[in-house]
Amino acid sequence: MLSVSAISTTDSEWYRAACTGDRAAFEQLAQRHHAYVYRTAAVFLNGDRSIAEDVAHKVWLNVCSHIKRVEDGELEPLELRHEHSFQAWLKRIIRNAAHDEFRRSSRLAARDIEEDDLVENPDYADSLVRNDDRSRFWGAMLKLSESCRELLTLLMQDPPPDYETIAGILDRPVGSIGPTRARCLEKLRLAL
Amino acid sequence: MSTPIPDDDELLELLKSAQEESLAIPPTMMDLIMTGYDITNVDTAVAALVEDTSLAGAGAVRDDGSDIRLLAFEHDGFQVEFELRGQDGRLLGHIDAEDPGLLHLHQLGHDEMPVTLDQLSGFEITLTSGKPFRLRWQPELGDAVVTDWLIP
Repeated sequence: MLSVSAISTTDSEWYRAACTGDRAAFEQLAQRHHAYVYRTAAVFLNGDRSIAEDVAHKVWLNVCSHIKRVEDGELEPLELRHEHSFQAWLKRIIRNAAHDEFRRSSRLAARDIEEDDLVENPDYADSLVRNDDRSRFWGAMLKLSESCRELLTLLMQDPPPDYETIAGILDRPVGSIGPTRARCLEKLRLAL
Repeated sequence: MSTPIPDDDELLELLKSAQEESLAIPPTMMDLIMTGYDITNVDTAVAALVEDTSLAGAGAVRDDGSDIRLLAFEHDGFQVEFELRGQDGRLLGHIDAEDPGLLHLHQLGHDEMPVTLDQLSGFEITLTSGKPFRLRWQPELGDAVVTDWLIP
């Protein structure tokens, strides 16, 4: 079994080790990304924590199934050419799972998730706005477009990824990340 | 707003703080992820999804507005069909298997439970939570078969 060090090990190395049946390697991937998966699911789901938790579990079960199938020789492993490639792959799984759930769920109001403007009258988001600042900021975040929420969620990771990594995950030009960040934060200000 | 407007970096920090409070990571999340890994690595065959009305768009919701999803899985002489009633978390279905065996329900975060089949190989299950679940068929001889994980 491949043994990998916890220090300076990339996602692609953990992924390759996990695909040989290394449980600890899979756990490292999950430790690195479980917060991102949960929070990104939540931004795709208009902040519904309960459904986001279910979707996050579903995403990880899909990852487990994928790894098992690679290990069993039923699937070719992913070609992770860049450090951000694993997270970009995860993002696609999250997006698909969240959008499937969004469509299915009668608990969420239908809205155009590709819209790039402030959402008008988002009842769910408004319901989360409370008097204290933290809830107010989070409520304003939920009024932003999906693309803005997605970008800001990446920027809030600890440590935040560099713009090149973010661009890779979002499949956007690197040069667009800074201006989009500023635009999204301006919208957030307007929503406060 | 009576407080000064923060600059971009300050705003992002405030938002991050708000996110950490509003979207705190559930404490059981890592345990459940690893449970999912361990379950997946048990040697089983995964039954193929052959019908899911929620993926077909129309048909997922009945005329009376009830939220009912019809699903079917099959693998090598085994088939399970069931209705998933989202509002009350009930599964109503039946199996068609060449060989005798036992049906089990596994819901993430809960112990696996045997499912009682009636004389026509029908079953009724009430899910205990909103966590993902799957069904496992263990024939008396041969490898077990599982469905994909489903969200109620």
